[in-house]
Amino acid sequence: MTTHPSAWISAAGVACPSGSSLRRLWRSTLEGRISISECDTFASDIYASSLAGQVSDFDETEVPGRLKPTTDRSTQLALVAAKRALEALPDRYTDLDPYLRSIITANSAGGYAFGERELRNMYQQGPKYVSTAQSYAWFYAVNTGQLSIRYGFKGRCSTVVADSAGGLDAIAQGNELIQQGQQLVLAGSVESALSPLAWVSLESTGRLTTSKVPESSYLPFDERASGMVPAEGGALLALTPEPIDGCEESVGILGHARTMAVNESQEAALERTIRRALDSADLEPSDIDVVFPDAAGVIEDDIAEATALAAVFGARKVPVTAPKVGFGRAASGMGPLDVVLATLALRTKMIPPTPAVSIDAELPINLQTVPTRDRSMRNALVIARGLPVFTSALVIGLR
Amino acid sequence: MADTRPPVITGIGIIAPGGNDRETFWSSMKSGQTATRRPTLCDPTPFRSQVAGEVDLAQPAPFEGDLGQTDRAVTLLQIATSEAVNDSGDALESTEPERIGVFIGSAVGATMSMERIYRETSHDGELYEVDERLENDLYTYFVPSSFVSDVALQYNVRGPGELVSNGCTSGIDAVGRAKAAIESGEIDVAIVGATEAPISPITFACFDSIMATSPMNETPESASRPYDATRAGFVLAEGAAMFVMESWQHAEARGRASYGQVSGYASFSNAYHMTGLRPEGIELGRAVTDALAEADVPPEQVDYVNAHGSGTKQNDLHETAALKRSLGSSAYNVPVSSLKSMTGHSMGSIGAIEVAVCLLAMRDNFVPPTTNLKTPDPDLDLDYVPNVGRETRVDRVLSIASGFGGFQSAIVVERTAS
Repeated sequence: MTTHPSAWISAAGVACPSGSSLRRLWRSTLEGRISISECDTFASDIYASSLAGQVSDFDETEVPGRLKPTTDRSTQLALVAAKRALEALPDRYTDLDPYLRSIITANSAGGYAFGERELRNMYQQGPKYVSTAQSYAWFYAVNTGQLSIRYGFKGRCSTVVADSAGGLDAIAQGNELIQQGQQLVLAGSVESALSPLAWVSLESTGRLTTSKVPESSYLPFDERASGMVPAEGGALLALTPEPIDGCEESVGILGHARTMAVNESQEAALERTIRRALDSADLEPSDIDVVFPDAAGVIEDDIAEATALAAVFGARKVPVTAPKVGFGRAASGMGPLDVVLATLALRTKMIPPTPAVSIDAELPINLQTVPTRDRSMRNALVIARGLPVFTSALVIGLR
Repeated sequence: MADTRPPVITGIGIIAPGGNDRETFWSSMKSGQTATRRPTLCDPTPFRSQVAGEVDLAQPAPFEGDLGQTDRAVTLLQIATSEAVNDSGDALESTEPERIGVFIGSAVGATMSMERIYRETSHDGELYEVDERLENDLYTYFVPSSFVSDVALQYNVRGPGELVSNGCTSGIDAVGRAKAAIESGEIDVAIVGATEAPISPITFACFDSIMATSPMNETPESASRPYDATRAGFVLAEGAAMFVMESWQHAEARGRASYGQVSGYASFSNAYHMTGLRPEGIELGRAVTDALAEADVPPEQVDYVNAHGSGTKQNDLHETAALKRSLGSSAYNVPVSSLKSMTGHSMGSIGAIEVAVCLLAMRDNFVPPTTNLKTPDPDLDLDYVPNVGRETRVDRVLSIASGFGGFQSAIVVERTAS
């Protein structure tokens, strides 16, 4: 099939434990590097879970000075990721009518660490010690608002919350806006919620690994799977109605679907979502060359996902890879990061590996554990799931 | 197949300061009764502003289910959703679960629960590393899309689910998102609206710090004074309004009358300031223009404007300019009123509550007043419907909102064409 994209992924900015430039991220990913470590933003060793994916190459000097005291780390990471994406575009996109430039971000935690700090200030010192920025720095719309102000986007600007599935939904919303005539949409999500209260909230799901060994901590589709490792980071994509100059082939959005798994098995909801995404892309299962799955790292969820993939594509038919094993799950930033990695895979014709995992032989999936070249690769499917019911699937293609 | 006609609202549920169900609330708003008072949900003594619009949950509410131990925003959401679903007849039963979606607006999520848990696990702020507490509810408070999943699980919804969080335009924007989902053919029916329950010490403190909230603590019932020269800020409030929205085709097929159709929606960002507004109102005016254009309603046919009317000087100037810019000379002829003068400002949910009021205004041909407008601001020259509501023909209504983060949204509802 040669479905034509409705929006093109013309640039991207990333914040990721495995590298906050596309070059560094891709190199680390192909090498299968594990960028997980003991969380050091607080004394994580007192908690049952203590491993996290932390962005270590973030240059705070890139954040405008006046914004530093009034923004959460998640917003600072987003500001710099957006800057990277916009810098990669031709000037004509940044000079566009501001009403034709939109921003859609997903967010699941807002500026959580900022909010927790201000709660601490209030309870330790009193209400007068609460920051004047607290009224907006902690809320879920903060990144959309700050990015629109910083970069002068006046079109439709909005924030979607759908737990970890939200990032793909944000990209799909961006795609809709391009179809409606917007000329540039920044879409995606960047998150960071590595503070004590956020941590115990994440722990309360019972889905965090208690492993203390980074190299074998987050092992989706592996018999040893013991849960997931939370991460900070994400990606912002610059979507445009046409591919940018000078590219023989570009990657665009082909289709999307989102559902909620209610009174049905996880497998059924996943299968339905994947089939609907393929339908919206006007593609057959055999057209998909690689799948970037949700890869929960929770055994029953991994079984459900492998079963759904087998139902749609056939057992072990389509290559599947989860490079996020190298850096953890960045809440709603995870889906956009996977879209960036899938884009790089399509462009370079290389399927990156899923590091560290020894696949459970009983699972009917073809998990790629070493880098694999596929010169015919054209289409990729990315899946993200959010607690407790959200499922999202996005199809992208090289054209 | 996408339906080209605007979607319609066939069920409304409201719980907000002034009434725990749709008709009680609407009756209160029609009579211009204020519902702001000294708060009871937390001790306001340490704060500059000690006024709030609260829901009296002790009063009977039209909900028979088990509310359980949920965040207060979820409790309000459940009550409003139950009323809306019951009001819609068999909209849900007659629809495949995959063809129903849930869209909920909220600016700050489960603030009250998160603050309570912070207080408990940090021993009133004493501990930096809070106590580990492996209770499932923590995560549901942490990520507010749990509001959406709660509704989906209760009503067996398998279609798209989305929490829309755009500060104080969240309520209008959630309705706009549901409208788009129906018009695109993604779904036939949406459970849509907004909820907020932010009356908590940290919320008072954060608005105190920028002096955005009213300090008229001696006269809490008249502390919210949009368009009045003596205004001093907004009054923090809570509440929820939920709707059942259907494609025209779907409602017609089951022979269901509607409150009205959602004909136009638009939203822009001012890209200016996280909390500030320029007095020119350019982006809000543009949202109004685009929403009216989508609805194919010329400015002179707007019968009522439900304004943002938060009670701050900058907002009053901003939206008055936006209305003049977008409606032209018609701005001077159309009644413009602020619900927040009576309820206070429930942030992410107030936009949905206001859309509900617009639909009820059409049903009853009645424009609710702006209460507490005793000393008109000489810089403002529109018809703000001071203190007493009016009986008048209402077929087309515009509702507008501005939100922290620069969000500017407008929505148009119309009497359903026969």
